[in-house]
Amino acid sequence: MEVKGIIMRDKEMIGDFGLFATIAVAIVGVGIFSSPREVIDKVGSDAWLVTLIGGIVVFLLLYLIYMVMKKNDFEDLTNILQNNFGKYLGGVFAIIFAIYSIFIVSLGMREFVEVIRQYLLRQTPTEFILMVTILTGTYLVRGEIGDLVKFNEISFWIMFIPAFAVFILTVINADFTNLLPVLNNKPSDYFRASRYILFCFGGIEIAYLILPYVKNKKNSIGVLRKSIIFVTIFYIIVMILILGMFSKAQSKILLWPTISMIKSLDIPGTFIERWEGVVMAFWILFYFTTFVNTYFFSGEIVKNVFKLKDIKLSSLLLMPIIYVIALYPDNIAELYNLQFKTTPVLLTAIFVFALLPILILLVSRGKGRGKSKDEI
Amino acid sequence: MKENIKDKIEFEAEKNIAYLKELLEGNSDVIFRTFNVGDWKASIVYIDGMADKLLLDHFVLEPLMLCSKSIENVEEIKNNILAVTDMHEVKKLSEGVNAALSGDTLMFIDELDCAYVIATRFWPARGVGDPSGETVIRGAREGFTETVRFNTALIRRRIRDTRLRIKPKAIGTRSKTDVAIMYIDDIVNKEVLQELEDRVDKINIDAVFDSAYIEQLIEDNKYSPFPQIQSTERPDVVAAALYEGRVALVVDNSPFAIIVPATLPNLFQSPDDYYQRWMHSSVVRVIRMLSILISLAAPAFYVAITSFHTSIIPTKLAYAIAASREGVPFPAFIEAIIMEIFLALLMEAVVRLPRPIGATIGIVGGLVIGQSAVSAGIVSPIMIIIVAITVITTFVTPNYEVTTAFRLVRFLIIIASAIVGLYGIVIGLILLLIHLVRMKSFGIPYLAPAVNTNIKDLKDMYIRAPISELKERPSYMRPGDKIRQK
Repeated sequence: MEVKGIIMRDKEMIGDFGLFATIAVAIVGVGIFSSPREVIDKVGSDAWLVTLIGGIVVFLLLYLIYMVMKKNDFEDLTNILQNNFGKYLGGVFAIIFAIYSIFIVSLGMREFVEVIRQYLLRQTPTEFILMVTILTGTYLVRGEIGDLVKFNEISFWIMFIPAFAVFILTVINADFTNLLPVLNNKPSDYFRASRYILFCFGGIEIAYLILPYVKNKKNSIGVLRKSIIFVTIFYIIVMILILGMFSKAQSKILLWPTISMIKSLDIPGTFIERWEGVVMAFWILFYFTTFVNTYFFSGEIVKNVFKLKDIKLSSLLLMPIIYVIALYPDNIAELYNLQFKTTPVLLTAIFVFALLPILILLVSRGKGRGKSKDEI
Repeated sequence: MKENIKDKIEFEAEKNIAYLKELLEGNSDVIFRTFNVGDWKASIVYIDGMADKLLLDHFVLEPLMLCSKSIENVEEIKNNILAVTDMHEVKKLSEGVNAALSGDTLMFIDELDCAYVIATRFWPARGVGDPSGETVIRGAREGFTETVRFNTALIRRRIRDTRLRIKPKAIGTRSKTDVAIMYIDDIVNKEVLQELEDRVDKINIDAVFDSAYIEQLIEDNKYSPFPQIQSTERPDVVAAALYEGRVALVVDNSPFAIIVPATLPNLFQSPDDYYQRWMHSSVVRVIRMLSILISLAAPAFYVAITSFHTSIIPTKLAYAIAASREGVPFPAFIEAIIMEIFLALLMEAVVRLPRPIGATIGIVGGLVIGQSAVSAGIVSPIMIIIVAITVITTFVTPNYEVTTAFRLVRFLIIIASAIVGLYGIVIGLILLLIHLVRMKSFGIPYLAPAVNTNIKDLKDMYIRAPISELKERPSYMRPGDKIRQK
């Protein structure tokens, strides 16, 4: 007998905490491993300041997203783009968006797999770990958006409670005089460093996916602000701890300073001696949430642009693409080159996060849309 | 094949009896009795062993046969002579026959186009006993029995409210088992109620023997090891659930009532949580959650650290484990699987056996085999400790069905950890989380209130706040009347 819970599907809305948790877990990802090295390399002890500025910039970008959504009645992204730029151009923009997200998240996937291989499974082939992770993500993506948000809500606690516990334990060994001197870099250095920190904040595009389903839309800009503040504080703590732990000179030469920091963790009298393995296990979730949220977002766009029946089909289409992109770099060095130093990638990022929302706002104003819709 | 009973009731009692005799032919337990009531002929039909003969003799036959001389109108028989409290008329013969088959007495009288059904159900039944599967330290010791009416009465005693509803249903085309749908009209979540009724009406099966049948026929996701409906033998649990806006199904022949919707946090709660002091209950709840994690991951963690990550434990401990595994011919994974299977066998054997023999199995299995397996070098002593921890932590969970689900998951996680170590454990747990997150029970998320969180609901989830603080009904059940105490 086939019984399906069809009731209340359309009524399912996302609460404030769901929005907060989704934004937070989607942003905090694998970038936290490598970015501290790059940032500290550029600006030394001012890394935390750059992080703060990065947080503010990201909030502005998020505010832009919110404005775009508000002006367009909280429709989904593909609809907004197609309404404003016409069916084909809008579709192309949407696809660029999806490809960019998938590209970044796939490179992140490779980094994640390399970290896992380095600290947990030295002999397991990259391809296998990759496949297992993608398949696990697909299982969640094949569900509904409500399931994704619920997953984020629970992951939030599993991620951040142990993380803050680790912070408290590392504070003991940190030497905070390493944070001095303050503000003695050239302004251009801050600018160059911020590129890396902004990469850490990748994942804010998930707001496009989530906002249409939020129950209390009036309140949501406040919730978005809270989650950005949360993430920024989280990153600042990481930066300060790394600086305090290793000082400027040493942080520069570590491949993944965050992990080295955890490695130096020593809790006497415990059953576990070397914590990086166990902490790595928790970090899996940090990356996994970023991955699965972006995956869902891109799947949703592909579904809408090509008018596919459901996200099950589009997630199947994306699966091999993620796999291939993640396997493309030969090693970690090439991976970081692709992420940070390739001009097309950078330009796309600027286009997707800054230009496109502004364009939409201009076009929708020009079309006279949204004048009477200021109140939601 | 569809049952074929004619609906029309003849004016002559004997014609009806003749028809029924043909319909129920070859049955030694069906009793037909025809007698005179004044100028009319009357007949009764009942099932021997299910009807109360004493009541029939003294309050039906006696007045009808002795005091009916003076009556003039056939209507008077019902109003003046039949000295029974519970009776009603049926217009359809099929309804009457069904009533007779469930222990009532069917009565035909000449010149009436209807039949009387006299409630005479009476059969040997077990009394209200201890709820052996859900014992509490403090709290009622009443458990359900196999008779639906006793069970609804046990619940009614706890809810003396005019708004309590007990809707009857008959399920099973042949068994026609009585089912009572219970809810409190102004508290219940109407959507859940509607969905439940729809699903129950869709059931088209010949017989149901226990509420477990109905549970499995109406659940949301049959491809999940987790129970999505709560079953209980305690009337106080059912009553508490009704007060939370949930719906209960009481099924005849089953001492287990089922409650929908159920969420995983619900299944982790015991009535004791509310009867003990709140601090104690809160601690117990936290321990329960920790222990389910330990029971899920302990053997898998052992497999992972011995096969992949020997470096993460202190060197001394690593040596100790290596020394204890000295001479064990199997890899840790095989060792863990052997012990898990052995454990499953032991539990299965003890459950089915009468108690005195069960104890023997426990001694033979636990002491003799466990001890000698170690000294024979098949498993290491550490593995025995791990298994013991697993068993103890598993049974901290109050709901047996949940523990069986987690046992299955534990197997899978052991396999995953044998392939990719800690990463396998984490991916296994993530998959479990995704599975749970995607499930729903009658439209309510299975993990509520841990998901779609409303801060107020958390007062009664990870901890149990003092009763005086629990002023509202759980909001994730979306009850009608939200306030519980002012």
